[in-house]
Amino acid sequence: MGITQGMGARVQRVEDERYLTGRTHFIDAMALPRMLTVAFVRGGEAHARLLGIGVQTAAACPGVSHVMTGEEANALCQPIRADRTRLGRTHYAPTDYPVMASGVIRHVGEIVAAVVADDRYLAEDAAEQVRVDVEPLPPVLSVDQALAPDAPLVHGTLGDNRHYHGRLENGEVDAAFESAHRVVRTQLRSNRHCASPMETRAVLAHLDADGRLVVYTSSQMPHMVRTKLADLLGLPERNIRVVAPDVGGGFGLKCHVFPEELILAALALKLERPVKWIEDRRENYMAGFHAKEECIEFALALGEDGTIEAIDAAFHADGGAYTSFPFTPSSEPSMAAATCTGPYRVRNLRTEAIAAYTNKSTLSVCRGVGLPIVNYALEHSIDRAAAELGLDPAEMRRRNLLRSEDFPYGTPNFTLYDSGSPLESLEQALELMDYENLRKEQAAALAEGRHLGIGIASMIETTTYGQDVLAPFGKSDNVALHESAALRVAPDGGITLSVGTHSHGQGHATTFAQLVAGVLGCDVGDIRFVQGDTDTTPYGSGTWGSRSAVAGGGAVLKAARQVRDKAMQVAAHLLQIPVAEVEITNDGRFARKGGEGPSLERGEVARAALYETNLPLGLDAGLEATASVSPRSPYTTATHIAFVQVDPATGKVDVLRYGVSEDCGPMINPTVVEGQIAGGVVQGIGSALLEHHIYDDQGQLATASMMDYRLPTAPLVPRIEMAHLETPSPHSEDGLKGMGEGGAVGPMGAVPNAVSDALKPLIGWQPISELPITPERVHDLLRRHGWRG
Amino acid sequence: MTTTECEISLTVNGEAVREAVPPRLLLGDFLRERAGIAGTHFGCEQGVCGTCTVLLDGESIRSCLLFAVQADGCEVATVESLASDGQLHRLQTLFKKHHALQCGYCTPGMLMTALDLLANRPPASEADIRDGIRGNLCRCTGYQNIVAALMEAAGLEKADGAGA
Ligand code: FES
Ligand code: FES
Repeated sequence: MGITQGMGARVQRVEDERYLTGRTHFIDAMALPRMLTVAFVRGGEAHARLLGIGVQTAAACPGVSHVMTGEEANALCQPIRADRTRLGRTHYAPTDYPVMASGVIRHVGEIVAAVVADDRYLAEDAAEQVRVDVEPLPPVLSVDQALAPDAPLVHGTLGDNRHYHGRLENGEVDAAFESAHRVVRTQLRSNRHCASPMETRAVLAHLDADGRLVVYTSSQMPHMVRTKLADLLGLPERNIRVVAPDVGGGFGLKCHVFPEELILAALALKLERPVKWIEDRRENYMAGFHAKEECIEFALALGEDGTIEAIDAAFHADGGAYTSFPFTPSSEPSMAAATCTGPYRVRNLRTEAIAAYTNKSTLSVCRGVGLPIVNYALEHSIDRAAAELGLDPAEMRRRNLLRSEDFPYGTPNFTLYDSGSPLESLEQALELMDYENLRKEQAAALAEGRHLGIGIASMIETTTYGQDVLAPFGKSDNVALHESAALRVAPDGGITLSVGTHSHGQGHATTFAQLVAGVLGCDVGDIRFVQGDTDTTPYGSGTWGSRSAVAGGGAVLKAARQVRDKAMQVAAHLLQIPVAEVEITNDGRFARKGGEGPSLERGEVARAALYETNLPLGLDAGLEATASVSPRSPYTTATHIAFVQVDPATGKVDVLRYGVSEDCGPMINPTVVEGQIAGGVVQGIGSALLEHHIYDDQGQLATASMMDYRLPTAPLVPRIEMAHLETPSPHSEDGLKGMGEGGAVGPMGAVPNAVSDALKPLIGWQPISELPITPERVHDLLRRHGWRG
Repeated sequence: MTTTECEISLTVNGEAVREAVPPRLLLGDFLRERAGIAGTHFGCEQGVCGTCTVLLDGESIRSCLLFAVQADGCEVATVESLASDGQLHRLQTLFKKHHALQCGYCTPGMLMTALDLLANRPPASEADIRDGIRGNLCRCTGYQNIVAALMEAAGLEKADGAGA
């Protein structure tokens, strides 16, 4: 049975049962004796000088143990920093990010005090009694304002509001634009997005029997949290244990080290009692990091036949208040710039990426990092170019897309696309959606007065983010890019696999076990999967950037093969045949090739190795291995096609059908892959149509609840149709590629393209220059272009 | 402020519970912290996300919008009531079969909403199913496989194309 559960099998997830029955270990379900609850007092101003904090009344409230203010917290804990030593000529100005506001409040929601009480009701009662005296300062509320010469400074010690400013030029850009048959120059604004996992952030900290600090946190990167706790609290790292138990989604929010984690740790150390904080949704939206809000200028120089001769792109991100760790406000615009030629043949490129400090919640990474922005800007520009040149959008792409034989392909961004199938994927997607018929359906509907639109988006997805990608474009110091896996076989043949990555929905307990099953011929059920606990897993930077399959899974494969090789040696000795003659049968037994003669169960081999009975001379006892992978970045290619209906009277957009052709290399478990695609696409549709964090002109967050920040619901989205290609990567274990983020990328181009296409008969092809595409915006666009209905 | 506590008695997953609770204690907090039944989660505490859904006398309600005292004399059923004798409920089996959960945080609420839907407003189409779970947010699955599981649960053929 074992091999049948290996790579490519649609194995049902082994981890599901505890979630289905409610026996989960989310932090909200955890309680320890004498545990206290924390409620934070958060600043209510966008920008203000902090004059004083009055805590007497709060401290005297029933059940209150302690009120911690910035003075105390910042003395116990160093500010978070994300320094970079390898910068080149790029401007990079990180801030100190104090765990509580120190002197100045820089965004609504910044922590000014922590109230510790017997339960959350009492903690929140007391938090209301904390008096915060402030003197308002003028807020900076947009990237344009931040970069204006007379802008107030968000951080007085920095000379200006720039957090990051990078430029790149390669080829003959000016010449290409001068000699271009046509130039398509578009200004766009993407929305302020947030990850909004259904489980908010949560932390529980306590001291164990040995006095070690134990921090449970809803995190994608427990080892990174441990390292920062040690660093910033001044503790030996060996005396800290960080556990990321069940985590209810992350999507990039939870791959940061947060002030709340440090404050809870400091409180546990001070009070010597367990302390717990469960974030509420308002805090999550005010103080959990945001993503994506950028002003984009994107220009294509085009040849007569539609060939893209050059790209000139600028991405200016509204970076929010502080430098987060390990990803910073620079991550979105710099990765957008670094990937902005997409899956196309382009030789001449100029980019500019800026992240500016503003008085909003910090902007950092979210599923796709930069790629959704690129997909919006590049794909929308391509469709605009097609419209202006009178080409079908599919044909426009055919003329520019890379095809599988073009790989490996060096981009003008100095990155190397390892492999992929952009053109083949386009054709597959067109077939999946029956593009020709879709166009007929569109024409027939138009004759009846219904406005349907088709939007294509091609894409290439950076996955795994190895040194090859992150070193040139900037990574914070002290971030591991490798992953490790440890695999141990017990005397009964059962296997324990522990990894440094963290699955919070991705299904690693199943897919990583499948990798082992494929090597050792066991069942996924024979494998105990361990993750999330820094005491029992090898060091790694966790799960982000679609890296788990390639880095984590790669390490699992390597460790499994090392164990297999040793087991083969032991088995050969026991069977008294040469090692080259041993094979693992489909049911996981060790036997002579061809299956004649005696065979051994894995347990028999393990016992021989562990009890040192009859070991070959010179072979160490034991049957286990730890392996690591320092990955290079494989690229995943895909094509998305959205089919929408727009009602010009109301401005409402309905997504009728949505198709994806994706090439993420060999799929470990297609069902899990498809789950990731569907979930990603729906997030992407949310980004394109619904989601936006709005700050008013005082810097107050107007969307601090789920009523105001609108997530997609089931009736708003169609069933996502899918097709696959499987081009292996030449430089990862077994050709694996990442794919967790791509689903959320394509809709940012496909949906706006479909809407512009639907409105074309009414107002000609017009760009959707701002996301999300609300009914109001559609309505405005129609009016602006003279449509009166 | 918590002053007087109120005595309430209710049935939780078939067991009688009697407790003195502050009037402002939410039903969801009561279940988790007083009754020790922690499978129900909160996602918004404002009645928007459906994560906290439980059954009250057989109907799905949001345990973040109800005080424990309002459940006095009622029967509450949570996700923990579904499996019995180590056997998953059919709906749980279908969720597993169709990969209808990723992080699993929305799952308890989704299952309880689905139970109510299937029992009290049997869906006749994929659109009915999508509409029936519109009050439950899932950030991971895009609803795709939840809908697939509920299609099978409702005995409906897999529909093509649009859901809305
Ligand atoms: S927590 Fe009750 S509806 Fe969101
Ligand atoms: S499975 Fe994660 S929110 Fe639904």
